[in-house]
Formats: sequence, C-alpha cells, structure tokens
Amino acid sequence: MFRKRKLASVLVVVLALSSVLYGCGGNSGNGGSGSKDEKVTLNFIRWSNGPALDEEEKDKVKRFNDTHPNIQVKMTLLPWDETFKKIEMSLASNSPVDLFYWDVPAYAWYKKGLMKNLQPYFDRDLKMADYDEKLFEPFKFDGSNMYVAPENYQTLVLYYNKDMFDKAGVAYPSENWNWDDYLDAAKKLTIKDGDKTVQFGTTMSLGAWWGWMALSQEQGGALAPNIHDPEKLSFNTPETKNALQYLQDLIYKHHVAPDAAQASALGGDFLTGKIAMYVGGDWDLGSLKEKKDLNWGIATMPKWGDQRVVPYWMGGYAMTEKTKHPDQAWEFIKWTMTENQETLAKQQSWIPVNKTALSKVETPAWAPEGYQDSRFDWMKYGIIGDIYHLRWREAQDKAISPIVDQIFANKITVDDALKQMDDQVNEIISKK
Amino acid sequence: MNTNAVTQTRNAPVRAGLSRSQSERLSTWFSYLLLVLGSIVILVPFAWMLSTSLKLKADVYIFPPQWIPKPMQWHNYVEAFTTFPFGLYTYNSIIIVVFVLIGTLFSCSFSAYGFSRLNAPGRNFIFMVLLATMMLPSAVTMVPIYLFFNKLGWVDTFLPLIIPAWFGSAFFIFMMRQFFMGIPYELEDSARIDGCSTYGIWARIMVPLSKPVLVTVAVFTFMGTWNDFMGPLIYLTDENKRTLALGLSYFQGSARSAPDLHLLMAASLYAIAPCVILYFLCQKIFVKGMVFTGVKG
Amino acid sequence: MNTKKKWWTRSRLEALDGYVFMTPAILGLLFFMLGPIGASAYFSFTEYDILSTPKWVGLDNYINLFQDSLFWQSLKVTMIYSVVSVPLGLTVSLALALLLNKNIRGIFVFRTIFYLPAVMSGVAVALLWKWIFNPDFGLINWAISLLGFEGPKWFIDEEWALPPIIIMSLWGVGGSMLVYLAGLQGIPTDLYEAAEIDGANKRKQFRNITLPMLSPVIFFNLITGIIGALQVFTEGFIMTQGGPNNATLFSVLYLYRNAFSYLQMGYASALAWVLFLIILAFTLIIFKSSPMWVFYEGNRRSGK
Repeated sequence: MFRKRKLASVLVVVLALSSVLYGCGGNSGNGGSGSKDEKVTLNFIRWSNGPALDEEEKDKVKRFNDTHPNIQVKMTLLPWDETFKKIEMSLASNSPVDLFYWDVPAYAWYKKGLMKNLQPYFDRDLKMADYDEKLFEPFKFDGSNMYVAPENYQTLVLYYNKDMFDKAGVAYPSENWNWDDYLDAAKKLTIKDGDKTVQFGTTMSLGAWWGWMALSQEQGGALAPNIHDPEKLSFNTPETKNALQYLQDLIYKHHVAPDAAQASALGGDFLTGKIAMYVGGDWDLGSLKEKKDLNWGIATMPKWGDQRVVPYWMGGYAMTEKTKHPDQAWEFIKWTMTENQETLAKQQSWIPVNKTALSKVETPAWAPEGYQDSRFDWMKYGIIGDIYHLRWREAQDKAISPIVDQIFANKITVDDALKQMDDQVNEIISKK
Repeated sequence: MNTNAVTQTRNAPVRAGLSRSQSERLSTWFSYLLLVLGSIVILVPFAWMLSTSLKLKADVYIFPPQWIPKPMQWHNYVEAFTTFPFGLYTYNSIIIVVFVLIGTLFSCSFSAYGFSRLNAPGRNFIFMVLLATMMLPSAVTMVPIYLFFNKLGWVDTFLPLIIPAWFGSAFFIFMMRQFFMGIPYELEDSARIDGCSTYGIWARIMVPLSKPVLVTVAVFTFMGTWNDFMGPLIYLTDENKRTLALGLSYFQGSARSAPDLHLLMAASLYAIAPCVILYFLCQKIFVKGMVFTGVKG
Repeated sequence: MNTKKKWWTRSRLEALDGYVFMTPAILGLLFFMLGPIGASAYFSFTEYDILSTPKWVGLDNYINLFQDSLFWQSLKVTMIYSVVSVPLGLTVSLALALLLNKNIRGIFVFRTIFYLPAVMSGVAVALLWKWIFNPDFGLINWAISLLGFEGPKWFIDEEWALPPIIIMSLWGVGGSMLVYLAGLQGIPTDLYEAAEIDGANKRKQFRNITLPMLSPVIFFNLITGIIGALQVFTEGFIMTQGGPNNATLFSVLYLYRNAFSYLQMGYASALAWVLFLIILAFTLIIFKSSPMWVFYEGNRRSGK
C-alpha cells in the first residue's frame, strides 16, 4: 500500500498549501478582541477619483497610520460603480468593511440598519461650533442623528480657457453672468473648420442627473419637497424641462457643445484645450492644478435669469454597523474632521468643513483670480444636490441614465423623456 | 482514434490524377492569397495595439493614424507599471493559475480513470449527468455558488477561484476518459500481476502515458484561468489580491478618470503577452493536438 | 488482501476503487452543479438581499420578470447577438478550416496564425477592440475611410453598438475552426478517391462527402457556440457597460447587475433560470433535429 501512502501525502501537502492560501487570503481586520495595545486593522473602501486625487487620499491614510500606531487603516480604491457593490457584498459576508466613503447609493444601507449612528460620538468628541451645522442637516437621515461625518464640501464652478477667450475677443465670465450670457459666449467660442467643429464653446458636463437638476434648482425646481425618502419624485416640471431643454439645445440647436460622436471625434477635452469652458465640479481642481500648460480661469456658476442657487454636496466617512472596532473607526473619522482639516485646506482639492481650517484657506499660487469667490460663495445660496432613497441607485441605472442618454442623443423630446422618467422612476421607488 | 490519437494528424487528402494541372496551381495561389489576407486581418489588431502603446499621448488622436510612432515611447510601459501595480497582479494571477492547474490535472485525470476503467454500478449514469452539465450556463450557478463561498467566509480570498478546479471539469474529464480508453489493457494487467494497486496503476502507468493530453488540458486551463474576468470581479476586492484581468479592467476606470489610451494599450499588451508566448511555445499541441479532442467519440 | 472477507469480491473492490476515483467529479457535480441549480431554483421563489434571510414570495419574481422591459431588452440583445454571431461564426470557421486543410507549403504557419486570437479573450481583448472601433481614431473607420466611405459611429449610435461585438467574436473563431479541421482530417481519403472516380466535381464532393461527414462536428460547434453566445458578459461589461440606452445589455450582464448591484439575489436567480430554460430549449431542439441532418458513420469505432 506504499502507493496509497504516497497519494495520501500528496493530498496532505495539497491541503496544507490551500490552508496557506487561505491564510494569505487575509481575513485581517478580524482582530477579535479590542484590547487597547493590540494593533487593529480597519478595512476602508472608497472609490477612485483619478490619479491626482487618489494620491492625496493615499497620503491622508498614510499620515493617519503614521500618527496612530495602534490603528492601521487599509484602504481599497475601486471604480465608482464597483465600490458600492463591493461594500454591500462585504456587509453580507463575515468580514464586513469598517469604514467607507459616503455617496448617495449608501443610503440604502442606512435604511437596512447597516450604518452606525455617529451622533453619540459627535456629542462626545466634537465642538459643533467649529462647523456650520446647518449645512450638515442632510446627513441627519432620521432628522436628529448624524450618520455620515462630513469631511468636505463640493460645489459647481465655471472653468474657462483664457487663451481661447482672448483669441475670440470675449470678455471673461463674471459673477453676473447668467446662462444666456454663457450661451452667447459659447457661440463665439465655437470654431469650425469646414463642416467639422474643431473647438467647442462648451461641453455636456452637466449631463448627469445632479448636473441638470442644479439648473432646475436655480429656477426653484426640486425633485421632491423632502430629500429623505421622498414618496414621489417629480421630473415632469417646468423647471426641469427648461434645464434639460437648455442643455439639449446647446448640442442640437446652437451646436456649441459636442454630441457623443463629436466629443469622441474631438479627441480631447477641456484639459487638452479643445473646449473653451464648462461648468463642473470643483473636484476637477485636483487635476487642473497640475496642468501647468493650460491658461485656465475660474468663475461662479452662471445665474438662471437673475437667480443663483449653487448646489453643494458633502463628502465624508461613515462606519458600518457591523464593524468590530467602532472606536478605532471613529478615531479615523474624527481625525479627518479635525486634525486633517488644515491639510485639506492646504491641498485645496476639497473644501474643508472645519471653520478654522476654512478661514485659513489661502488662494494658492496656482489658482487664477476669482478663485475665492467662485469656490466659496455658494455658502450664501447653497442647496444640497442629493436625493436619498433606498432605490435611487436602481432608478438611476434603470430609468434615468438610459432616458437622459436618449435626450442627449436627440432621440426623444425633453417632454416625452420627462414623462417617461416620471412614470418609470416612481414605479421603481414605490416598490416595497 | 486510438493510441496515437494525439499526434495523429493525417495530411489532407492528396487527390490522385490531377496533381500538377494548371487549375490546381491556380487554386493553390488563390489559397495563398486568401491565407495571407486572412493573416493580415488577424495580425493587424496586434500591430495596432503595439503601435498605440508606443505613442506619445498627443499622437494617439491623430487621423489618419500614424503607424510607426516616432520616437518610440518605450517609457509608456514603465509609466503604466508605476501607475498600477501590474507586477503584483501578475503574481496573483500566477498563484491562482498554478493551483488551478494542479487541481484540474489531478482531479480530472483521477476521475477520468474511474470513468474509463473501473466498473461500478451507476458509473455510466453519473457520467451522462456530468456530460449534461456541460450544457449548463455558469450564470445559473453563479449566485448560489457565491452565496455558498460567502457562507464559508472565502469571499476576497483566492479560494473560490481555485477550489472548484479541484473537483473536475466535465469537458476535461471527457477528454481524458477518451484518451484512457485508448490505452491497451495489457499494460495494466501486467502491472497488476507485478503487484500494483489500482492507484498505483493510475499514478505509474496512466498518468505518465497521458502526458500529451495532460499538456493539452493544462494549456487550455491556463488560458481560461488567466483570462477569467467574472470570477475575480465577483470574488476579489482587496487591492493586493487583484488578478491581471481585474486590475486591467479597473485601470480602464470610470468615466471620471479614464486613463490614457497609450497606457491602456501598453497594459493590455502586457496582459496578453503570456498567452501569446505560451501559445507559440506549445503551438504543436494546439494545432496538431486538437485533433484528438475527438468530437466524434 | 482480497481474501479477508468473501464479500469483497473482485468486482466489488473494483467498484469501490471506481467510486474513490470518481469522487472529485461526483463531489464537484454535487457542490458546483446540481446543488447550486437546486439552490438557484429555490432562491428564484424568494426575495433575498443576502443581508437578511430569504423571504418566500412564490412566483412574484417570475411575474415581475415578464413585466420588466429591461429583461425583454436584455433577451432581445442576447438573441440578436446569438442568432447573428453563431451561424456567422460557424460559416467563417468552416471556410477557414477548409482553407487550412489544404496540403500546401507553409500551411502550419498559417494554422498557427489563424488560431492565435482564440487563445486570448477577456478584458485585454475587449479593450483592444473598443479602441479599434473608436469611431474617429480607430482602425476600422480608418480602413473604411481608405475605401472612400465614412464609417458608422460604433458604440455611440444604438444601432451600431452590437455589431462591433459580433465582429469581434468572429476574430476569435479559431477554436471552432480547429475542431472543424480535426473533423476534416478524420474524413477517410478513400471517399474522395471513389467520388473522383465517379466523376464528382469539387462542389459535389463538398456537398455529398464533406458536409455529411462533418455534420457531427457542426453539431458540436453549434451547441457550444449557442451556449457561449448566450453567456456573453465581459464584452458588454468592459466595452459598453450595457449602453448606449441598453443596446448591449446582455442577459448575463443584467443578471450580474441584479445580483450584485441591486442585491436582488432572488430576482437574479429567476433570471438565471429563465436563461437556463432557454438554453435548454435550444439544445433540445438541436438534439431533436439532429437525426435529420447529423450523419454518423455506421462503422465508427467506439471504445464505449
């Protein structure tokens, strides 16, 4: 039976090897006990924002780990779409993620009781006078408790290419601009070569729902009176219609913004000097500030008529209900809201939430004039640009995005699109 | 389709009579023309990939395209490697492939021997069921198997990608069974007389004799595992555990952070290279050895 | 050893050994095939988000599925893809196999080249073809422009989103081509010799010898082709994310989204089962029809 033994030993080796594999298959993070001196690993998942911003995030985590010897934050960066899948899957597994970076789809987990109430920690450790608490309201999902710890604000600004404006003899955008001025300028900034457009005045940067909703909000439009768990969302409103019509017209009526095909044919974007101006997130500053060869400027988002409402969003960290190390996870969250705020102010990629840090934000060397006003004035007329609903993600994927695709492909009128959107989205969100 | 099935490649029928006639020569030239055209269609995409991967960023979007980049940007490969840890991903892919290979070869040849040589009640029924599962779309089993591995706590480890390979694969078992059935019984009988157990026969006679089929299975398994995307996509999260295919798909990123095409092509070419190299090393197995997969049973 | 007990007859021992040898396959069958199919059937009658326990909902998932326009869209996309790409792939690979079966110099080199794309698949290839089909700077539209036409807006126009994926699938037909080649080389030469003596021309020989003799191989390629086509995922996921406007929303991609994006495991299982039944129906139809067109040699040597 010598052979059999040999076989058996092979099997033993194989089993041993697979246990090695399992071992290296890191179920780190399950330190089990939470004793003080033991080093705790926190699993943290967030989405990637492109190389420039990712570097800053990695640096942030590294600085935290360096100054907190007992806590090791282990960050995993994923494409946006994958992030929420993976967090969700991990919540269903027995090694749940401890920390994650917030975005709207995560509201579903709050509804399922998977997000930790942070209010007790806020009460214990934070001086609320340091923050503009009114702006934090949206994160009080149940009306009184904070579930996400805001770390930064985000808003919309107008970016423009100074060289192109100079060349076309168009005055730089001012804070008095409204969307009509924007359109006029875009027309002058669009350059054709034969029947091919080689430079577009603007681009479809507001094509995502938060973009065109911002335009609707400027006119006083809103998807629902209450952003938390709305029972019905109203897409088919005059304000939203105006907003989407304006955007669709930029492409198909005025030909100042490329459609999908033209955008691809352009072989470039604002960064590579093919687009004269656009309204986009201030998070784009992260990559723009590295762009030494582009003579760019910044201005406040245009008004609608004479009204200005600028949307803002908040970025921040949240903790899962299942985390085995809530205290250590809070330690990291607190650090991002306090100690790290000044670094955030220096880096300038994100607007800090801490008032002291905010007051220390200086205009950096790379920033063009108008930087302060355009980036920080929104606090006067800011309005949150979010909707929190269990099925918002599904509604977005299944109904909103495909229909908006059709609007910007000129396959459907804005009227019809919004009617369809109203029906389909409300059907999805009314499912139990 | 017997013993030498693997190396058996008969040449195409040589037709008697018409051997050197003009029409024959014409048809040969016509064949060459088609073959060369076909080869161009097959190879040009690779050239395109290589060309893009060596361009300056600004030269990628030039129309009509410039085929030979000047100067060649070999640096692109370095840059792709520094933005993304492709070395680590390669290592992960290799680890997975190695364990999948061992598992597949062992489990398939082991099972196939049972199915081909040892009479046991119900054997043929089990084999038919096994063959029937080849028709089963993996999408049907994807969700329950995920839930199963999740229960075991194996999500975000390599185990869900490796362990199934240790439990045979219908197609490869079928292949090996066909092969084993072609090995003469005399060899086994004499080994048995020499005191060899059934397991000894499997290990000392069947496995060594089936080297050609094992190599074929190994090569196919390598390709399949190396290129697998859905498995890693579903099971792996940790940045340090990503495979090359998964890493590459994340390198493509989202709309907000699309990488530059020249880097993407450099990375893609790198991901494909091992398959191409293995293919050229083992082309005889592919091109000649396929004959014996014996669809006709 | 065998004499310890009379009960352990030689054949019983052999059976025991047989089961031991078959163990990996049997366990695999239970754990990774039959078990999951059963589980999938069960989940398809539940509402299950993994985070809480499954809730029995009866036929709800199936009823919702048949009212779900995206389900129908995904089915449509998958069907169009299969119905076009499978026959096209079968024809092209047969043509290539016939070409490569010629006994001419250097044919081995060509065989090597023609099979090359088949060893690659997945993400890298999808990325490559996405770039090749770039409407403005891609290889294909450049080639079309050389002919003096303007290429379509691949992946941007809804109508032109699926065709590139089908064309790309043709590039990788090397697998079925090789199977054909193997089949061709298994056709006894004497059949052709006899036909030649009877004065049959090449076309007749192809129709009356090659095709019938090859029919089992065609049968095999057809079945595997259909199963493969109905399960396309990576292309849709990497190249188009199912867009534009769901024009490339393959069934498995939709299944994946339901399971892993919306955590609707029950709904996804119902979708999987419907897909399974469709594949089963296709396979059965082909099997049932096979006596009409698949020709098996009467004298085939079989080891069974």
